Amino acid sequence: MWDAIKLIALGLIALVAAMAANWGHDLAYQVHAIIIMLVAGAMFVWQLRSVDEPVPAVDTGGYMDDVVRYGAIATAFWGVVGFLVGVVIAFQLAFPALNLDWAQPFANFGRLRPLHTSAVIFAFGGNALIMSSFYIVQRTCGTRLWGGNLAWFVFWGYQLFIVLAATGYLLGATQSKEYAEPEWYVDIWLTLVWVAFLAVYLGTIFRRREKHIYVANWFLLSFIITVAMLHIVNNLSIPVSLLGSKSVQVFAGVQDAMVQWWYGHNAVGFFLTAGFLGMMYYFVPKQAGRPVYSYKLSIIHFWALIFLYIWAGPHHLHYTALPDWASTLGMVFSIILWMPSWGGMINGLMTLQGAWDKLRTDPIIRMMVISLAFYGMSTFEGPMMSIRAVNSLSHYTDWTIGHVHSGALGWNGMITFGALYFLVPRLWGRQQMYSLAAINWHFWLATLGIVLYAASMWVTGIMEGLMWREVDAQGFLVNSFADTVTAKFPMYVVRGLGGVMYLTGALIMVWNMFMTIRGAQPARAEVPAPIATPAE
Amino acid sequence: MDTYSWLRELADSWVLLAMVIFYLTACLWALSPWRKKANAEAAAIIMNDDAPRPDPKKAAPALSAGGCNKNCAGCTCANPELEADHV
Repeated sequence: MWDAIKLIALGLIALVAAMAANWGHDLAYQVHAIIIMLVAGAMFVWQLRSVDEPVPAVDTGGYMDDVVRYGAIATAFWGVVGFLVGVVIAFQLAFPALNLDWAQPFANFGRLRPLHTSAVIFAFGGNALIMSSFYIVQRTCGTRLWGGNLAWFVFWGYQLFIVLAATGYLLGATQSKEYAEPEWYVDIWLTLVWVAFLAVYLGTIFRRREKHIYVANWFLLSFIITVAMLHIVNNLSIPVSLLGSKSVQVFAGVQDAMVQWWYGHNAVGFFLTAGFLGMMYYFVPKQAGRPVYSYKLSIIHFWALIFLYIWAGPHHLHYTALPDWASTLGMVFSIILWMPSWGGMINGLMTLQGAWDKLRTDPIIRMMVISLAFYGMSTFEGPMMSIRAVNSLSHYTDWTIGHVHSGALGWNGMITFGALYFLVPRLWGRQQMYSLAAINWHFWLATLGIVLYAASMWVTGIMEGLMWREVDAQGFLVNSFADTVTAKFPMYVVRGLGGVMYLTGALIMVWNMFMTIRGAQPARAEVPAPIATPAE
Repeated sequence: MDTYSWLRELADSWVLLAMVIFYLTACLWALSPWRKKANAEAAAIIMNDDAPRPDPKKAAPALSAGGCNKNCAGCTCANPELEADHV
């Protein structure tokens, strides 16, 4: 009976998608309809073949780690894709001829840029967060993931969201809201997936066999709930037609700008900070082999972050139509945020107290420490840039880009690499990663890559900010915009090289993961005893 | 008074006060001395999490004649996959 219902539903979805592909008003919508038709069709065939087959018994005694294993591979895969697109667009800025004529309009900078940001934030970061949430919540609650196959729906549903978003950008479907570009039907799909994610997570916490809810779960739960709220409010829009991808925002003008940056900054605050702090509060103590330095401090860190971050958005809108009081409020709260951020950083670093020697021997700990260091640096730089006077110099320049990347590559990237190196041997039943030397190479390539990236963006950002505001004795602007573009060329090349180094490090990690999973373990291989071969 | 001004005044008076009180209460709660034991317990959760914890509601079943019958609540003996995972 249940099989029949599933078959009917999948068949209907495939049929409706086929009709939508035929009648769709624009290319992106038609391609998306075809993708959905193919997915539903494949699921239909798969379902049909398993009708009345005996259901293989699922062992529900242990943790549900299959979905975490898939998540680890997806994280590494999307990471490489996102970094690669980032390197391409970095060189497109340095050498505009790389906006290849034959690939227009699909592969120009304007369409590849949201592909890059979404791939690294939502595909790489999102998969890292979903994977670690599922891993951490099971361990800290001492119970198996709630909801059975619902976790698989979350995983595959999220991958479908990524594919729809990415193809949409290339084909020109965007609602032109930064970090929230996907159009209305993709937003609705993500909402469904996210609610399922919340259900799995909460269900597991409700069934926990530990008295306390470990602090990492507080951060991860706040990430899931807040992102749901932000996503729904910022994507309130009315489709122009049910057969097209275009939609119109419900808010307009400065209200729309305020909602967008309330969303945008809290995507940083709750997706890239609270969620990754949840990872930090689990993986750093685990890898260091000792409990977190101060549990009290971690709780204060949590509440301070929750109360302060939500107000910081208006600092993106200094000197705009937004009322002054609102942007001042955003600025003040951003500066206060410095305090809990550094409290959290110190808490993470001090967890290593008594184990600092591991920094010399354990490249995974080193990765986690550098990520905390970058967390500290970018949460100092951010509040500084939110001050109105500083912002008048930094806004619209590449300083902002440098700041974002020291946070994203340094903090989010490095803690994710650390988490992957922690998880892969455990998930595949290996003693350790295939090659510790390769982790070391990854560490240095990534670190030096970030240094090149951030340093070149500071130089070029402050330079162009100063060039834009330079006036002569008569009060005329000294530089044209094109002058600043010419002056930026060397720094753009250095930035691109930094990106190449970071990407190379990630590729080394993928190779290392592959060799670990494949089961080759040279670290433990023993010299085989000589075997006497009988003469022929 | 229009909605905008009313909401704005509410936000920077009573709502702000309520939120500050909530935040300070949360901090005091975390810092309070009688939370010390609970904090230490919570911090230690991660140190021993290789396998799911036994379900306190289910008592361990009696052993069969041959000894362990691999069906205690939360038993990991009967789980070859998990055994392979945690070498």
